[in-house]
Amino acid sequence: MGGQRPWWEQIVLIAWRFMKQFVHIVTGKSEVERIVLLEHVGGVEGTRRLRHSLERSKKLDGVFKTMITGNPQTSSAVEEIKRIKALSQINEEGAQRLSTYVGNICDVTRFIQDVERLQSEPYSSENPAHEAKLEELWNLATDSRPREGGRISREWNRIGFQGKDPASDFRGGGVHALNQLLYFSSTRTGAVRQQLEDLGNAEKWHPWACTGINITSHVTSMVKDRLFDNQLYGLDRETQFQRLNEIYSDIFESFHVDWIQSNPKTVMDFPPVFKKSVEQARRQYKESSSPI
Amino acid sequence: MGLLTILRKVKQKEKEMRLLVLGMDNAGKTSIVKRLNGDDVRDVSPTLGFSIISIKLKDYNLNFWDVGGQKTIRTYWKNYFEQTDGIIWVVDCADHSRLEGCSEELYKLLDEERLAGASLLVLANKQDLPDALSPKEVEEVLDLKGAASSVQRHWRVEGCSALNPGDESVNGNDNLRSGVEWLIEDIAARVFMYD
Repeated sequence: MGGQRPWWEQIVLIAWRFMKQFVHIVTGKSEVERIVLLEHVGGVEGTRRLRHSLERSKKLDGVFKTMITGNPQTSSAVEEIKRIKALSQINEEGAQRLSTYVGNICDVTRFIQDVERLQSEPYSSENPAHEAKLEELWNLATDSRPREGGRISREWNRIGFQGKDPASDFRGGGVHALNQLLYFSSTRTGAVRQQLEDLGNAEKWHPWACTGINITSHVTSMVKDRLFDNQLYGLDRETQFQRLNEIYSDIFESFHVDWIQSNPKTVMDFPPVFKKSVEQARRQYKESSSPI
Repeated sequence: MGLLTILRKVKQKEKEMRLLVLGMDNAGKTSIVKRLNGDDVRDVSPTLGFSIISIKLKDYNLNFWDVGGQKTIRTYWKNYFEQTDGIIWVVDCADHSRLEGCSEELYKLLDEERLAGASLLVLANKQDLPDALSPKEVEEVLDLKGAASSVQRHWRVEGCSALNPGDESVNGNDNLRSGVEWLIEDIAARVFMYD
């Protein structure tokens, strides 16, 4: 993680370490110890604090890396932190909290790997489950409008696929992109139909479904950059996916507002508006995930 | 000194080239540009509108204009014709059902007056897929000899696989890099001949 920080973060980091040393001397406790001994903070807040402490610590940087890559092992990471920070004498509650917080961070690492697996699962026309999801998407988005030509149809363009067969558009986003479009359409059906109606105006048209596939790609890169960690700690897998899909839906909706407000003349106005909107979202989540 | 001469001089100094990457949707335009740039090609999504990627190759600044291939977007291709030095036409060699449409679109493009001087590189993409047409077959299906003869256009067809260049079935057939190098040399011979 180190080495790529901009200079102002370097300064903050140096000040942080200085403070840490100072507090360590006064209280006789290391930062990690203080974090896990705090009773009043909940699991999410404790995990957040521990993560930022690990991220910024020179000695614990290596342990932290094992927690956010590959196949993270909670118990060995806990032992390693205890060893480096000489925490063998810590009380039971403290040890318990340390283990929970480390476990939360490792779990998000595994969640991200699940997301990547879904993203690399290609859409297959031979898979009945995939096909059913696609049909469901069509029905939700168009209020079950009959489609001329059946499965291979020009009409897929109505909801913003490029050709006669949506399968090819899912190349990069895989089943994950379809799941997210489907989640958005089933939980916010009214908003989705309104969006598609707005895009019916030729000047405002953009390929809605393809836009969604691109949003999936951005949201996936954000979760990999650990911008959503605080929203994901301590949840079961299903709820984590749901949270991620909510974030996706929020970004999709706020992009739509930006797009309409930008008063586009053609779809060629799309790239800068989209870029700005996505960057704005990234900034927002980055701010809410940073320590101070 | 005419405007054209000045323009030529400016171009000469910066050695910039504007390359238009076109073809049907899902042909692999973005993947090709990404691979040339050394980027990850696994998670490419449909291009929304267009994107521009600048790549430095052999002392030249190449600006790749990668424009979406969807039918609705094709009507805007013409907005990007001005000052184009080269066209890269990407063909999905495994999509037999759309070869005819692909050929029609290419003909329309080559009829464009503003593109009359531009060199043409046809990339027969997806050579890794089992039922992909060979570059030779693509040349025949698109009847490139006939299409290019009227304006004496410089053209070349190369096979490639943007996603699986190392695939056994592609073997010696991945000529993406050499194709692009031919294109820029051909353009250079025309545009920067006073070098």
